[in-house]
Amino acid sequence: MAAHEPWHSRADVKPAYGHSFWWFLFGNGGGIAAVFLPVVILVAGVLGPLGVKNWMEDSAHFAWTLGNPLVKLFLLVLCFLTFVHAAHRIRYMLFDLGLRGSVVALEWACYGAAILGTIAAAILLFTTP
Amino acid sequence: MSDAAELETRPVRTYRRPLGNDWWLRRRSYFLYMVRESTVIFMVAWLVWFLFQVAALKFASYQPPTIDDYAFIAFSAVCLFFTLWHAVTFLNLSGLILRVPIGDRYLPAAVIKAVAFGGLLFVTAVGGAIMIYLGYVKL
Amino acid sequence: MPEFVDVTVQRYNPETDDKPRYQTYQVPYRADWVVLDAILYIKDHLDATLSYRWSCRMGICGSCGMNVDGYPKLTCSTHLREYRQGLTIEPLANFPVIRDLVVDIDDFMAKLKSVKPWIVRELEQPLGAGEYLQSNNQIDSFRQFSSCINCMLCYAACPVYGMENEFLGPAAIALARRYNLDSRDEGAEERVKVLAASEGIWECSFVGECSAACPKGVDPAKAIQQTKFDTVNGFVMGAMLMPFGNRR
Repeated sequence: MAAHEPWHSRADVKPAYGHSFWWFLFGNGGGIAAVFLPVVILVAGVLGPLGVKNWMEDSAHFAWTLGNPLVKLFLLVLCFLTFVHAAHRIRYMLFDLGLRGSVVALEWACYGAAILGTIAAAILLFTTP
Repeated sequence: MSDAAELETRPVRTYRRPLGNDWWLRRRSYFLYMVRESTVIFMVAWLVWFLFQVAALKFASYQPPTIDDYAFIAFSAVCLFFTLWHAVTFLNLSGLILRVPIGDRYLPAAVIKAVAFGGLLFVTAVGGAIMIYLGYVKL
Repeated sequence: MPEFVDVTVQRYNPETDDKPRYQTYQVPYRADWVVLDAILYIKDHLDATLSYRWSCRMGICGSCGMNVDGYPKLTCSTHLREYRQGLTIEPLANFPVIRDLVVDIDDFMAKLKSVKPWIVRELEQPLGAGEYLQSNNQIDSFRQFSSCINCMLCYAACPVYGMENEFLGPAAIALARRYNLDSRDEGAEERVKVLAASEGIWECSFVGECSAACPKGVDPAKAIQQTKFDTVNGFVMGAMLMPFGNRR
């Protein structure tokens, strides 16, 4: 029955390089976020407000630490990889929840948001203080 | 056309039960999958909060969170909880996915997993110490 | 006094029914029976119109897979005593139902074939050269993937396949992995075209239920994630080593 030729028997079936690119960033992002993000949240988000001095202690210390370009770069990479990792998972979650009309539009929206977020983070980090 | 040939070519009417969009509520394992995926929302949320602090610093209105900011501490604690959930579920899979060849065999999955979790503990200890030390720097 | 168990079966006759209906049979309870025995009893003694597939009765042929109380099982390997309060038997989820408990497996068979689950050699060595030798470690690297019996329980457990039937699916990818890992095989480059297509490994969001449902201890979820990793690795290494050319 040749009414509908399945995708896998088409002569031009080939690897999806776009998917592998995003999966590469997704995998790396997941690993970097898993290892580096917990301690950042723990110190600045929980211990800091509870009274433990740290790099976000006051605007002087915050600005002094952010003055180091390596700190800026680290934070930018952390934001970029976490955002792309999140975009990838949210793309699959939204698909699971029923947004299956246009996967292309879904991917543009999710990965696009991650890239825009990264650009915003870059501008903020590198123009401050 | 013979009867058999006619039977062969007659289109078969089939029934396919739709899965529905609530499938992930139907099994515990499906639900835990959805929780694992949702952890990213909290990770992004906290980073967005952080970027707002950078913006506040840029515009000279930065106020460090204090012990009276119950809502913020609760927000951070929830974000930390789900970030750790992500860390544990993600690093747990490291041994399953990463393959390090040694001759005609591979490094045991348990070793890769141990390295991954060791890395998390190391970074948390050293990174935490550095971030706290930076608060004591005399400016 | 004989004991009974209520067995509710999904019925569907494409010539008369628009959608399936359920019918309950009282089947004698025997502690040593499997679910398939109950179905055979219904066919032999209660209702000869019931349609279903089965063959070996010993967990090898892979044809008696059905959803038992909503979860895909080999009915020949699932004991009736686990369902003393009664059970519902439905055809394998996510597949088109042809009649009663019989599903259409054409889609799966075509996908299975598309990944060439056999040893591919660029040049077959002459018989005189002897057999292809393999070390125990080389066999261990793929042994569990080769236990697949094509029963399709993993497809019934996979929500991604349920949402998007184009997905290549767990068993096909696990078997592709089995041959990609085989030291005698040289077909990885042919398989990757199908494996790494958009409808291949990338559709998988790693729910992992395929591996939980497998009655033979195969881990398709692992096969899929490892294939993603190897594919990406191959592209990255290829791009770094030969940025402007196709290897070979």
